[in-house]
Amino acid sequence: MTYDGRDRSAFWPEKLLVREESLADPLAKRLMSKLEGHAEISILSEKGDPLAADTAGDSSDAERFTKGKRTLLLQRHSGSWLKACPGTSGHVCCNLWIVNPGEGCPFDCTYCYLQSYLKRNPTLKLYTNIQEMLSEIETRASAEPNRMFRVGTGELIDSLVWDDLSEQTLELVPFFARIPNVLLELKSKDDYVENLLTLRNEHLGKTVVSWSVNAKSVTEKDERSTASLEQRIAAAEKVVEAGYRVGFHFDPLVHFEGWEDEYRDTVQSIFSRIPAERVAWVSISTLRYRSDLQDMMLARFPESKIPFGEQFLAKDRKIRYVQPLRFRMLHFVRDELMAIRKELPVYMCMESSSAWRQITGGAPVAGSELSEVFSRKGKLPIIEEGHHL
Amino acid sequence: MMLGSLKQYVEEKHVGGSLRERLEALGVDEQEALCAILALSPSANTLQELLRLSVEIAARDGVSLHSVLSSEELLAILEREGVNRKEKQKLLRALLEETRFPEMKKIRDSLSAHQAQLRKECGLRLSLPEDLEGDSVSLEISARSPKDLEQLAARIKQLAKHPSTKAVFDILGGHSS
Ligand code: SF4
Repeated sequence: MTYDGRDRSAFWPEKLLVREESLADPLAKRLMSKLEGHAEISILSEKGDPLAADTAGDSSDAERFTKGKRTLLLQRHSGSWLKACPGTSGHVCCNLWIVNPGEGCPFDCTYCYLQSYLKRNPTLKLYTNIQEMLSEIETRASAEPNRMFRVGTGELIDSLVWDDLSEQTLELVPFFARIPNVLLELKSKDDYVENLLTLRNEHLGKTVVSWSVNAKSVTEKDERSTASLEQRIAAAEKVVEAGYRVGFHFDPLVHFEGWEDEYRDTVQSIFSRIPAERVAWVSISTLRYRSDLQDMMLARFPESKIPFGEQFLAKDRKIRYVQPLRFRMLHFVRDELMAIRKELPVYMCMESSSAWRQITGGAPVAGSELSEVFSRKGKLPIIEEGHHL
Repeated sequence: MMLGSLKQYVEEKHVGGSLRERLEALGVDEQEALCAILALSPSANTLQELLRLSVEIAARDGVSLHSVLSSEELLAILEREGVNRKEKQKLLRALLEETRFPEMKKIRDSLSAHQAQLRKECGLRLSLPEDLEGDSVSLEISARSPKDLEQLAARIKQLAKHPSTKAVFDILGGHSS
């Protein structure tokens, strides 16, 4: 499959650092070969993040973070891989499991929480020992065969952004197809799906490809280097055609003048091209962040209006919209989505039980259209005609 | 370079850290506009908050800090007669908060109007959740006799049916603005 989309080399790394221990790993060899002539490649023997606050001189967090966006470090991951999504106490948790095949992202969204989460270690990373990640998932899943593990790779990294270079999905997708009680969720703002398309007969319905989506003006102004909304929808259309189910994450909903019209347009643009019954889930959540992210946004995106929205510093030191406004936004987008299809599995991410009561009438219940998202037992994914588990 | 009155304020209040840096970075016209506020002798914390709100409004609206600090509404507060310095600081803060968070202000105003209505017509004070976070409101009642309680029960019944009570719940739940 050839990709005829954006100039991907625009966000490829300018510097590729490879740890000695990773040199012989197939992923490192692949990246070194593909980036030869594009990136300055060096072997790294020292430990630690080369752009960490204590090693990279007296530059500011913001400067180091920006520099980190163009430096990719290949290394092995040590420690455990599979983690239950941390959620937040007092919030209804969607039972997502997380694995991180790397961390950091060459895209540059104004509101990205990685700017505060990774500010001390901003170099982008890809782990070269993902075979170990897959073994850990297999061991865990076979130890609890009656439990469904919905596993996401898009928490600290965009699931598709490196796929033209790393070809990781060629390993991940067939692996998840083979294990009965796991389901993979790829989450992205990219439109590179060419590897996924070659796996149309191998994914067996066990991979959901999801996109974070937003109002058009937010995508245009505050999601630098990402695929446009139109390109994301086109990519979703292609994977649907290849038999995958897709997901959409309206995250973060941003309040601005005219937000209702723009979010309505986004919903309409998606569902005018993607059949609602091919959508595994849709999540909605509003802008919220730790207070230190505000400084990073101000320093890195002085032209953005996002830091000057209606969000305020609440007593728990989180910055968010006041509840009546937040709930109004959630109501609005949920209603728009439910008007498309009543059975659409729409859930709220990082919201309290009070939000669930107010907006959906109660927490998700077993047997509802949200079973696949919230039930630990889960139901097995819908298997496409001609695909067998 | 700092103007004389700003320099004096910085020394008198022992202003240091980020506020001092921020003040030092101001242009001459911004310092001049700020001096009118300094005449109210705000604490360093109050000044920092007023300045933060002003800077954010300027950045959001794409206007200069000078124009925010010398807006007609702001100058009207500074020039108001019969209002003491503390009161003027409060009014300034309220004005800047209202300008910075217009939607939040609308929500709070609307809730306050309904609370006032309930107080007037049912004689009961409905308290809202802290930071407007959560879906329960509270009522504090006190009685000196069983008879008092009976009367209160009747008023609570009236309050439960009052349209303003429904409006408060609707606003908190994001059903209306
Ligand atoms: S795509 Fe996601 S991970 Fe990448 S910068 Fe944007 S928000 Fe952050």
